[in-house]
Amino acid sequence: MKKLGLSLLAVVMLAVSPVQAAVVGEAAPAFTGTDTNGTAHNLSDFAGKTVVLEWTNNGCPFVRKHYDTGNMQSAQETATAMDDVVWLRVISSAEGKQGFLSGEEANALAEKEGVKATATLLDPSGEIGKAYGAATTPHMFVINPEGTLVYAGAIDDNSSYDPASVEGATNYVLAALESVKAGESVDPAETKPYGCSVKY
Amino acid sequence: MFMGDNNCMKNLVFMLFLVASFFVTASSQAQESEGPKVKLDVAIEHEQIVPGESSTLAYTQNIIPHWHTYWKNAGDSGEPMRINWQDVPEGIEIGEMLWPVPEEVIYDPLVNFGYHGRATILAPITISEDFNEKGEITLNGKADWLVCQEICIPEFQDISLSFVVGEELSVNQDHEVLFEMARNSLPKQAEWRAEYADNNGDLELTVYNPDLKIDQLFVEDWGLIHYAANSEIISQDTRVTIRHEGAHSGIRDIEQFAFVIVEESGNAYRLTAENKTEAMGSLETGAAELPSLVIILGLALIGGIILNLMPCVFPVLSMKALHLAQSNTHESSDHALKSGLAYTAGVILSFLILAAIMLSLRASGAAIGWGFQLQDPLIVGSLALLIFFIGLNLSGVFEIRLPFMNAGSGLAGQDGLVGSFFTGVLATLVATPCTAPFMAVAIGASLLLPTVMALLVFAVLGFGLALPFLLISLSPQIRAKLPKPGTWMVTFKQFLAFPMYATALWLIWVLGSQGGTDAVVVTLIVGLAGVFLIWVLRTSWKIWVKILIALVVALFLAWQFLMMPSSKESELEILAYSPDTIEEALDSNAPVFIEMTADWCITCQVNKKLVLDKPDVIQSFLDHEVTYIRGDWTNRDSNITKFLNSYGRNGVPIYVYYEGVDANSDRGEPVILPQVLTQEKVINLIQN
Repeated sequence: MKKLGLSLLAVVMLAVSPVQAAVVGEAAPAFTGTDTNGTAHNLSDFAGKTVVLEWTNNGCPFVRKHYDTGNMQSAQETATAMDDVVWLRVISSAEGKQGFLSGEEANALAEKEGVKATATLLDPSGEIGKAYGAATTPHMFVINPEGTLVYAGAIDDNSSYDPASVEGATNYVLAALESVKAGESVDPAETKPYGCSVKY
Repeated sequence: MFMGDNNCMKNLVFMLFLVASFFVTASSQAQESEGPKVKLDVAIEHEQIVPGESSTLAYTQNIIPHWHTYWKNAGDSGEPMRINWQDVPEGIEIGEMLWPVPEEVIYDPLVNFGYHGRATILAPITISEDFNEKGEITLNGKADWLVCQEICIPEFQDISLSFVVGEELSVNQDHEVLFEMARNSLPKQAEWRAEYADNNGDLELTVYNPDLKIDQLFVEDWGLIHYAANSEIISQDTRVTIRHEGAHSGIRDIEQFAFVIVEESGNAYRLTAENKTEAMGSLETGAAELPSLVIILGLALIGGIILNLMPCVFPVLSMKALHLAQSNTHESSDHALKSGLAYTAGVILSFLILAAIMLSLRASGAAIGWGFQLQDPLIVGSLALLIFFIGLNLSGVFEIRLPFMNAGSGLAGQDGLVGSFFTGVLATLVATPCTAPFMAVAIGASLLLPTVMALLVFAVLGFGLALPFLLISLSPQIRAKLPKPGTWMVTFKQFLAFPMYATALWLIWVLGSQGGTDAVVVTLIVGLAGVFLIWVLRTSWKIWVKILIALVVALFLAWQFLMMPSSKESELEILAYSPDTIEEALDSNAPVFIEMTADWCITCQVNKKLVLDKPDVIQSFLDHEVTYIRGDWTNRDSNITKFLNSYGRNGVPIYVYYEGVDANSDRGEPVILPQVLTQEKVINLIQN
């Protein structure tokens, strides 16, 4: 046995506050958020329903791809037309950063764009975003009626910013909703989200 | 006065200039939002390529200031550049992109990996041997990428590339520097063995090259680790381990992953780590892992056996020896075997419990090491009393017979299986602080192993401690060789009381430096009360009188224990060790000698009395102007624990010596002295 010696310990702190991302297959982090009309929503309000969370930033080109083509709105429409499905948009942009909107601004924009989501939560502190580990816009999460996170990741399988790419792309969120409805396990349950970084 | 005004004017003009230049800078930054943020240049290393040969493409991103693009794994967000060549003729193959070492781009809480300024990504291009189209070839394609500052902009650019397929391979001289620099920016492909394990959500990545001074880790695949989590880098004998506090569960399901490490010097290497998560958990160790595991377990066993000889274990073991000598007369082989096994179980179980407590405390962040159980004055005091009463028992002062004990006195003194079991427990408690050299290595290594393996190491240590007596109890032949019982045994038994008293004395001394005179006095009062109680029990008084007196004494004892002072924090250091002291000492040119000791560490005290405190040794330290630093680990001290860990140790003593250096030259590697010192060794070391 070689003599144990001459060894060193170096501690490197990659010091940034860790994002404790929500874990697929475990209970979704609880949250309370205020929507664009000043109404408070608690995740527990939606117990027994399937909840979709969509992180958004109207200045992000990837978000623009899905809204300018009407792709996101039609997904919202399809989802909310299903029984007991709630679609919440979340804006986690900090004040002064890209995508930050007041309640009125967000409502006006939603009306102009024909947004079909149940509500849009304003999260300028980034609290909800950090609890879920939302990294990109869009970044999608699906929570089943039992409160378990069953999907986290991209909206679809085409990460291009090219608007034409929404054609023929597989929408992971709608697929997850179908699986939840059918009582099947969601597959894929986790994908790499794509888009701009969330502007915390 | 005029001069003053003049200066005022100058200052004012200067201020105006500053303000103006600020606005110019600000407005030029505001204009950045127009036009592309990245200009991509495509180049090929050879202007002429021969079929069957290959060349290299360079995609150079020229990024405007403050913006960044992304590495192949962008991190929490972002997208790497994509290249799409269209209508590439058959026979021409463009390979995967080779990415230069990225930098960390942090937008709290998101961590991204990418490039600022300029980055050149390389890709191999191969012309197949049967490619028969001669002359100039032009390729066209599209490149797209995401470029971000606070906000992100996807950009794209049409790209094209021309080269000649001909008779000879000729380098394009214009691009020689570009390719040389680009290759230098790539991580070097390294062949060191690397493996990883998911340890309860922590990634433990080990590279078998002890000389690496790792500064940064970049994992090439997305979704394996949590980028913003903390990392700890531990250099060891033959390897370096990165412990990253945040692995995603998916890392268990893959067989390997590629990663890049960057050294403090800036050198970067690309490696592939094999998944050892399964192997470690199920003990199906691979051929490569086996030798080191066998060595660690072997050392643990030897260390355990050596513990039998430690001065602080000897009294307990002598009792056990007595017990076995007796068993030769009136106990069957079957019973001897059973009591040997009970003893072994007691030792191993105590080791496992102590290890589990230590590992869980460490996991929760407390910096403690082996022997920690002697850092609590209450435990030290109780142990001192326990050993004192065992001594009294051996001296023949009393013999207690309780209904549930068939014979003997005191838990560890009785003949039954319970007694054997508790002898094992006692041996463990008292043995552990006497860190035998082998034990230190084994424990140090075990702390880097997954929990199950670490516990296995401790179990083997315990087995080593129990082994000699287990062998005696297993073998009637060995027992037959033990001396025949007789009246000498009474004398022997009484003699054995003295090591017990000595041990009690030593523990009282430890207690004195931990809790001061008060703790010692309280303990001695409890001892007095105990002796009094024994006397009461041995009188012929009525039973209810005895019980009444016993109750009064018990209340008195309980009150005393409540009053017992708690451990004091490192106030009693003689010459204060602190990381700063060491750093300061090492910044000077003088030689540095570091001693880590504890009052309860017999080896440390022996070394101090017989070597370090000797006039010749002290004179030698003085002559060579050695800076002497002493750390006292009698009570918990997380800095000292860290220091011990940094040398792969988990217990005291340790003696580290740094040679003196000439002005401005760097310190060499330190010398670690053996745990048992001699005057010659120390003096020779200092004089050379």
